[in-house]
Amino acid sequence: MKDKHEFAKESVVEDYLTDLLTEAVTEPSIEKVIAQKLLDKALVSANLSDTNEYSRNVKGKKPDSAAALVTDIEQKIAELLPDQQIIEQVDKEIQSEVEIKTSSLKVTAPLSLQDSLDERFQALFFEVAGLTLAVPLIELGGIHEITKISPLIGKPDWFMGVMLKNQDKFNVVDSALWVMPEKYDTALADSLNYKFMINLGKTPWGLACEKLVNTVELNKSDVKWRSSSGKRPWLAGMVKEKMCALINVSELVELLQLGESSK
Amino acid sequence: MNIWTVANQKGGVGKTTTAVTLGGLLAQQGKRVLLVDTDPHASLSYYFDIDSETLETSIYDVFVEPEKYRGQMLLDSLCLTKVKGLVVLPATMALATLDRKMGMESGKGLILKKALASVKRQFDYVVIDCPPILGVSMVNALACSNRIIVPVQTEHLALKGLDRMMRTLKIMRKTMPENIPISIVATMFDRRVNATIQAYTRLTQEYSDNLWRGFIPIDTKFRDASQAHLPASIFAPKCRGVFAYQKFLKDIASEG
Repeated sequence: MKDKHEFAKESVVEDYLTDLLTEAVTEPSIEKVIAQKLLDKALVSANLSDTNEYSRNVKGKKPDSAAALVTDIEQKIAELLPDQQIIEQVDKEIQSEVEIKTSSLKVTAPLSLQDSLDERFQALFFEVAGLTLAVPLIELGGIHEITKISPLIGKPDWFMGVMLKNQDKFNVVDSALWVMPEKYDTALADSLNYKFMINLGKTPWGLACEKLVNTVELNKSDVKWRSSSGKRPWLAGMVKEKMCALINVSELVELLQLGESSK
Repeated sequence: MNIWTVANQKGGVGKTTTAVTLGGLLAQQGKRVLLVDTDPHASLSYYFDIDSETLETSIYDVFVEPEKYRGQMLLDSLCLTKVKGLVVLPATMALATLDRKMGMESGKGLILKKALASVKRQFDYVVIDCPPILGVSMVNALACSNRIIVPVQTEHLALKGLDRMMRTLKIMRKTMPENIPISIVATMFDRRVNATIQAYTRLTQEYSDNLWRGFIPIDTKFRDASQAHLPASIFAPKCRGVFAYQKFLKDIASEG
């Protein structure tokens, strides 16, 4: 029986207070530390990849001529727009326009994940209902601890809801239900203990996961690659040694955006 | 620095009177006191004849630009009163928009705590007057306090409000681990009225752990003091209401 002082919507009040007071200064849990380390690795990997790409682009150009070109452009800009404030204003406007356009861009699948990855690449391994999945680190947007998820009406069953993190909203996917709906029953649902959300690339989508396993450096030959035109385009291939699925993030996001299941 | 929060989810129970009178008594003891108004009605601000709608800054700015309004910027936002050692951080009506603005953003309940921590060397006591609604302002006020004072009018409806307030505090304790002392103070006690006696009896039965073993009597001097824009402890230092608050202050001081 309910305590006579208890609120009718006790959990609502509790959630409200918890949200406002969540910035508690607590020691990070071991799992959080692991998550952070994995995320740091992912960021380093992504930065290295960016640097490599930049190196490839500038290869062949003489440094002197590049510097001269920059100076030349800067001089021309200075001549055209001598007012620094105007430059900054235009810069801001361009930046915001770029952001708007970028955010409205539809994520399109690359021709082949296999082609877009380096010969050696890192992947994050995580577990969902006993199933191990892997995602290339360069396609990882981040790892967040799951906090409160607000369900939305009219969404597929696998759409757990929206999770707020700082100023960002993430669409959290019940990975077990999405990946293996045929095995998803009440017992499995009850046994799930989602702790983290794997953010997919620069999209608002995230896969709920129970456990972060590790990051492993793989050779392309370690993966039995599948054709993206198959039945499950989100499945890039199988990591042979671990016999686990390697996710093609772009394909997966496209399916999620369409509200499609894994099959 | 001691931070006392005067809160109750019921209005008209004597929150502002309690905050102002305690602040006045502490200032008279030579303490440096900051009174913080977190109620959009700004009763505490108007008590001291501060028309916060005409001011450039108020506590609203502290909530909206927390990084800016710390330390010296926060000190610059304070208003002096006629009482030496007693200053006010005023409220504005705009505070009423805080919940819509901040909603349930993580950590927004700790803004005031951080702001006050930045001026802790400047004050001995901070007394916070809360709005009668559970929202961002009240949560901020409760989260930064090291003592919570819950004035409760000795009448039936006010006891219902007290139930809610105590329930809120119980839920908050799950998030805020510190065991902050809570003092329930019976106010507007009128021994000639049966309902008052009944309500006080119920308080002693149901809230014996937190109830201060005294009461604040009904006293017209409080109203007169507010019209004079002075704490009752200065306006009418020998009135029975002030005497009761002095006793309360002495009792909580002895608790440490």
